[in-house]
Amino acid sequence: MSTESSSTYDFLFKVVLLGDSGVGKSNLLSRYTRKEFNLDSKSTIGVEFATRTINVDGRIVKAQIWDTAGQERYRAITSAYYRGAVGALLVYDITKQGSYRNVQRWLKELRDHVDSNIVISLIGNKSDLKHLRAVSTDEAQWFSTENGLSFVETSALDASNVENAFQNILTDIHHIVFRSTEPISDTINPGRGETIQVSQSQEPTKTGGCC
Amino acid sequence: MSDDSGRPSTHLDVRPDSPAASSFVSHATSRANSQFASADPANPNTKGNGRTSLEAHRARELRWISAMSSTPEAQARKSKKIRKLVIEGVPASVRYLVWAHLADAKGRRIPGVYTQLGKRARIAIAEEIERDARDCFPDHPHLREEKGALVTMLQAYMTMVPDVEYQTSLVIIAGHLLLQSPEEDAFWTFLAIMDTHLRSYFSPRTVQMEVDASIFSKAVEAVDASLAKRLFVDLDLSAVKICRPWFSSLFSNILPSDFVNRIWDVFLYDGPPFLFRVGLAILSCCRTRLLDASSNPALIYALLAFPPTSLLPEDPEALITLALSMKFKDDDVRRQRVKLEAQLKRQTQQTNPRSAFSAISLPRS
Repeated sequence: MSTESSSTYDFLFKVVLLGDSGVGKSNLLSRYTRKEFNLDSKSTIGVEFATRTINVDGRIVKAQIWDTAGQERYRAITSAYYRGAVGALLVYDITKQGSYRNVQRWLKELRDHVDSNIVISLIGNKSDLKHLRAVSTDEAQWFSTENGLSFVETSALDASNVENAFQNILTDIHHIVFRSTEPISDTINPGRGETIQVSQSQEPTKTGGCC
Repeated sequence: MSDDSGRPSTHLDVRPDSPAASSFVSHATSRANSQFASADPANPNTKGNGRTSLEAHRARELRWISAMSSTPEAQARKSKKIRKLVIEGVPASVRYLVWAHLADAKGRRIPGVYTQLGKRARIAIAEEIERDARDCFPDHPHLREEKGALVTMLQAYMTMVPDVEYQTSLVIIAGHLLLQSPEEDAFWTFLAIMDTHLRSYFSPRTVQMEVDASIFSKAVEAVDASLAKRLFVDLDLSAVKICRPWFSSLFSNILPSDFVNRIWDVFLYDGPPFLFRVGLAILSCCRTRLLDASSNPALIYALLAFPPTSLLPEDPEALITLALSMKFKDDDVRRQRVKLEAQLKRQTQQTNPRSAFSAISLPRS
């Protein structure tokens, strides 16, 4: 359990990481929150959390990220974790067809347990293993568009797109919250909450401005 | 350091329940149709529907996560802040962590030991454990498996603590833990709960259940004299026979599981006196039935071993509130337990001076 110290924040978002065992959820989280990667990390048992505070459109957002166990035998326990999540990163391994096929199942599992407004992002992890690729980018992109998910390929190992993946989903969530709170708030500039991008794919950019 | 309620958390500088902490909550308050709407923070137990309760759920999760990181396990049961959180409620998503925290399971955990214990030879009682696992959890196939987590966990425990006498309620408690918790975590929490609270119920050397039953019958008399007279004088019921199924299983398989979870939440903080309180609350719920002239001892034992849900409050919180409102001094139980135990110990030692309380084989780090 790791908790990052932060003095204050405007929004707190609960985001869950899910997907098959071994696709790299815990490494995505440690790369994002601690800039660490561990090649022989053990499988997650139950649940672990980490937080990171970032700036989204001038507001301080604290992301509370729940890393869940991908193993089947923990399924009964892990379903409790989805409740109240406003975002989900559904992760598969681009070198494992099986983990991509199971995305359907995870999606169903998620939708059975959460509010329909949840922002879901599909993450194809291990993009550094190009020579072993078993799932094409186009196919996953198409699937994401069909299902109203945003999509990005990442590598927790070489850190590519990890920042973007989290930044994008937090921005998307922020836009929704912003829209729902904007009319009653006099402290927020109302002009900035117009764009809502939930289901559109996010092309990875190299900006990644956070903290 | 016994009360950290006044100290600001070192890990989370803003109190999650502070209005300043989250405009996320405050901005959304009046938007009841939004997923992000807020709950009434003054009323954490309100079972609001839909979005309101979601926000309360998230806020509660956050409070627990920050409380667990700021209060060490060994201090948890001394912290008034934690007690307050326990009473407010424990989200299912963090429940096994909260239980492990309150039981101080981490303090007992030794890496690798659980795996090693699993490799030990099958014990004589294993067959009985397997049979009980099949009988007690008909709705949970994964708990009934012959080489499944429940059987493995109890076999491991029984090889480790030879002074514990096997009873079916051990399977019931272990199974209930496994419904919430990954296997190895469940094992250490089980061990911690046994060590801290329950082991004396299962030791052939102690008479803890007799002691507690005697304290319980006195408590019934103090709370409801006419009911006590009816149960323990007119019908001459045995308090041990009433208390044993309740206390030794922590009410698992006796009450519906949402009640059991809440009882465990509070029990793991308050300790055994809370079991007495729940017992008193159950008697109070069943009072009319118990006083009914047509009831006989067999019927009453059966009724109390499985109190019908129609007699219980609909909401588990109502039972918790009732239990906590019972006129009953927790410290008296603690004192009486010590006194009665010492008395009984003297008696046993006089009759059999060699029955010393031998050392216990727990590998402590």
